[in-house]
Amino acid sequence: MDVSREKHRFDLMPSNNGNALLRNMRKGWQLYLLMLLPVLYIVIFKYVPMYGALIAFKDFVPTKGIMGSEWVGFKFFQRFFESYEFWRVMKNTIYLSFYQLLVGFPFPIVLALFLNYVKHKYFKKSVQMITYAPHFISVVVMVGIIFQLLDPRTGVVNGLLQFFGMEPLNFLGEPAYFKSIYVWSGLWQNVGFSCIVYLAALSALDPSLHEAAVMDGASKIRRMMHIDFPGILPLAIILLILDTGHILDTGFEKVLLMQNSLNLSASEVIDTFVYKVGLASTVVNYSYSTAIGLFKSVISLVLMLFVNRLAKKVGQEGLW
Amino acid sequence: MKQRAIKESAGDRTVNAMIYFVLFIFSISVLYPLIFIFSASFSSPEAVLSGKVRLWPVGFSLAGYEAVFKYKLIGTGFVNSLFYTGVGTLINVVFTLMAAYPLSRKDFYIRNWIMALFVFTMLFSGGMIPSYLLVKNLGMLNTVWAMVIPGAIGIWNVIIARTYFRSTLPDELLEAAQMDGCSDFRYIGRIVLPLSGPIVAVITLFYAVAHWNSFFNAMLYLKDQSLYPLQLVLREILVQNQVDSSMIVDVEETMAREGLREQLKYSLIVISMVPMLIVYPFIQKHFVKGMMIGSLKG
Amino acid sequence: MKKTMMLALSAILGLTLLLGACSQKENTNKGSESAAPSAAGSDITEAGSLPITKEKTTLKVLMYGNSLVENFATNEFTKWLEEQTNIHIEWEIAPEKSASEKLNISLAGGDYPDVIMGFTISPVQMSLYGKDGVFLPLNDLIEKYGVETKKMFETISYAKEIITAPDGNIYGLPQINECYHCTMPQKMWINQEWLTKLGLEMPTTTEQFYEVLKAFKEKDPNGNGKQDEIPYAGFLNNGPELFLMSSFVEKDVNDMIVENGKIGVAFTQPAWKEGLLYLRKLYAEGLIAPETFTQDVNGVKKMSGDAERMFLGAVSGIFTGSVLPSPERVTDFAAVPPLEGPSGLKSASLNPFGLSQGTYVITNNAKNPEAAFRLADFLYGEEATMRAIFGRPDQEWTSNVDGATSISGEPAKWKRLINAGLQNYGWSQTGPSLRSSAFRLSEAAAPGTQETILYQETKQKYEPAAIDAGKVVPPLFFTKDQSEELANLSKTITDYKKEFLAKAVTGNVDIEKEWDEYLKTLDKMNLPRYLQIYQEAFDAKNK
Repeated sequence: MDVSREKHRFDLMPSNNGNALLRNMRKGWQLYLLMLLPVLYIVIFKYVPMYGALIAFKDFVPTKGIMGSEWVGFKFFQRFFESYEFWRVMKNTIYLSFYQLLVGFPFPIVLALFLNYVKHKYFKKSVQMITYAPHFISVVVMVGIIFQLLDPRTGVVNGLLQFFGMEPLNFLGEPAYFKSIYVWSGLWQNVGFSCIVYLAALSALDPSLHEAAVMDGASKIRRMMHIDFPGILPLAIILLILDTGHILDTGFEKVLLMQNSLNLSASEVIDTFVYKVGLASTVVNYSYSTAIGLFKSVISLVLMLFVNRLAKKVGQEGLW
Repeated sequence: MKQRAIKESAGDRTVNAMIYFVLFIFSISVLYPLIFIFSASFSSPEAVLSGKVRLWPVGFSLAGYEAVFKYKLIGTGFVNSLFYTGVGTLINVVFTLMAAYPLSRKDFYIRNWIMALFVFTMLFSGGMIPSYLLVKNLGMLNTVWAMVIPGAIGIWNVIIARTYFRSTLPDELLEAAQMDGCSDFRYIGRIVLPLSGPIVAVITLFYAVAHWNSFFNAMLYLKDQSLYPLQLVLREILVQNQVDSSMIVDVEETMAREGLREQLKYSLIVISMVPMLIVYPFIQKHFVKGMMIGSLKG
Repeated sequence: MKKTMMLALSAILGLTLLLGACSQKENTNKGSESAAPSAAGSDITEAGSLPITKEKTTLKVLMYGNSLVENFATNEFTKWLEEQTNIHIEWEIAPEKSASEKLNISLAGGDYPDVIMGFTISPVQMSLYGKDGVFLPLNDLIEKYGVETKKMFETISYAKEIITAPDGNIYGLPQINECYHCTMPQKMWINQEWLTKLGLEMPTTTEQFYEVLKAFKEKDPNGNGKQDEIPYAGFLNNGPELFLMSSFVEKDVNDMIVENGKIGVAFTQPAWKEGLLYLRKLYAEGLIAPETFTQDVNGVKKMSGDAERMFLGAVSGIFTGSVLPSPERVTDFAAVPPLEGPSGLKSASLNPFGLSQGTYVITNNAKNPEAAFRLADFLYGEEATMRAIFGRPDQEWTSNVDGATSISGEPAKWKRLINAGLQNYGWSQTGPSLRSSAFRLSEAAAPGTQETILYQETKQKYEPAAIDAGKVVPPLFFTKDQSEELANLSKTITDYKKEFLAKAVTGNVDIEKEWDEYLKTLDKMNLPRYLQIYQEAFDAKNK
């Protein structure tokens, strides 16, 4: 047992000696070798094209190419910030994204925890299969189903309302309902798919922990709280951090399909705004959409770093 | 699992019941639209359009499926998608594991820099045009490679794999192995991989689904219709054209397109969903509780 | 140590970025080959003769996809074309829904083909890329080889002017499709069966229309003893205002108008407010279905009726086929003539230009621009157009009409033998072709079918009331900057106009109270600048 060698192996604190890196490379060369191909891939396919972000600062004309197009600085950023709809669009996007994050975060965990305790094998497998399937319904059909369910005349929801003596409501015509419809239908569609990650994590937990707990007479709830939940917490936190990174990406197809003149004040988000301005233009303006995309990325980065730091403050592992 | 000698308390039984109840209700709510879609695909197009189809097929007809098989591009699209998904997922999983394991090791000196490098690409990208130029310059345009290489690593999946490795592989295990003179490669082969069942299953599933659903790369990099994947073909048929009053409308053509779309809609959805549904049970069995970790203590 | 690592990483990153940017072979103008005859020019045959080139020539084409065409490469029409012209086409098909991305990538990548076909390339794009030399000016080619093209210019009087850019060059050829009924597309259709049943006359004023809708609601015309009739329903982008507002203000199909050379909008005028109040009255009395503002075309179709009975009294749209439960019901409906409004105004909006711009463009990558042009010219010929759009003579269509009458009631010249659908005999409607109004109307159609109904209703009821063609804002060539600025403004303004209208009609805003605020908001959205840009482009055209 070579103590000194061991100590150097687990060199967690970088010493001020520049050789620490080289030493680590010599000792752990196999890890570095493994890493080589992925890093190469990332550099080639992700970093080399990154100069495309420059489009945001140029007046991009496809035939002139990126380098040949004229430099305009922050012109398109300014245009976005100064456009009449800016605040409304920002507000809707942030509200919608946070709402989605808040709702979309706990339910997959809860579902996974529940499924974990189901003894009956067929029930468990069927529920998993059924809840996983809606993820594959295309957005066009999904919105069609939503329309059908919420139809003021023939929809199930309004049927129920009338049954309880209430007036039918044109849900899609009310700005107040838009975000809820969007978020909860999204949850319904994706929770079964999202819980898979947690299921995998739960299945890797040491079963002897549970056996011991059962021996000690712990109830299911206590086992959930003290074994399962802490077991998947690291994963949950990481996923939360990652989700903040995508927070402003609402995706535009579903929103676009659900938009109409009556709910527009709540349903216009950044992605649909960019899409429609692009459509309204007879010249596709990549500079504009790239600038807005860049703006979104910067905000997402800041938010993500913030949440990452928060996570570490409460003692969890962050992204780095 | 050992036979439980202690009976479940009353409290536990209520919790059990509640769990079953909630899951049952939720499954029913999900099942309904799925059944609807299946039924609609087997119903006559007129019944579907007039809203008669509620739960079971009305006016049983295979017209939807016939139309699908007449459309040759759908057939080639399906086969292409199978191929891209299979090959692509394999490449994905291998690369992802190659990246995730070193990142999970605390003694991998540059892990944080690499993480930063990776995560940055999740937020910032150069966009469509430089990627296109890159793929063109690499000579991959309009080839199968353009469908399986550019998406080779999803950073999200690398991160959850890394988290998995960190949570499930105890440091003591590594120490013990190193003390016995085990090299990293051997450690990976003998210990890490056998214990990676669940995470490999998960990322395989995620990558497979991503490939199956993708159309954007195909739109960007492929020129030959015979190389199109299924989703690209689907989009062309299903996404509604905005018809507004200022456009020139050829009545015949508009009606023909609408007719085509309505006829194919549900049968197309079913066909595109079925492979993913078939794949799932095979992945599912890796989520079975109680893996071999317990055996370490022995 | 940390610092050195950071520096090292940033240096590596910086280097890769630089390398990436420099090494990318982007589009550099591949030598601006003008329209001067190239070396291959000697291979081309005389103007108007076939085949087009003595040796087989290959033309690379980027084609706008069409879900109704099975395969352009194996298509019957393509084969016929190749036999006739000796030109072999190498196809690249752009998926329809992502076509513009594909086009822009193609242009950015520099590897665009010889010809770009089937896209509706906007005037601003054409002049932009034309100036850069990427799209070739076609004027000389038209002069020298444009037999059918010149004929087209004669038949379609407005075509040449519309497709000529401010710099005097023509960069792209149009598709001519003069659909007569489409020139007055904003129509209102009413259930004639119900009118007859209730003993009512076709309404001619807005007041009468109101009364008729009320009768539909109260008098149970579908005879089932329940008041379940829906007097009027519309759907997204097909609301009641498209037709009804014309009884209050004169406007073109985009709610704009040209008066004495000045461009204006209809939706800021006091009469627009009057129109809103009228619509509000209809809605408040339950005569307009609330779903009008939220449903799509499938929604209205579902509520219109079923096999046993109809529920729908009136609907707006360019034709009724898509919104009625079955094709037989189409004959139940008749078009409402433009109604006379309270101020005595009676008008119908007009869209007189039956052409799509930029459907055929020749790039500077073309090695044989003469052949490329002559192919387009050939497509304008009658036989080519017929085969491309309708299929093969005596298989999918025939000129043997057996004395049938045409859509316009005259002796017909040709008739279809099968209905449109997924096919491989033609290019559907993609690409340059020439269908003049006269030609379209000479198709055989039985009286009482959709096309004849559309023709007659338009001719008899709408044409007399149509606004003057000079009042319509024509297609304009904007500059790139103008177009970009316009895009932002136009989206905001149009969305707001629609939003205010929907809210006004449903009662969510008080029209009288909010009208001034509405005008002020439009001002803040820079409506004046929007109009100014249009005016500049309009003046530039009419210089």
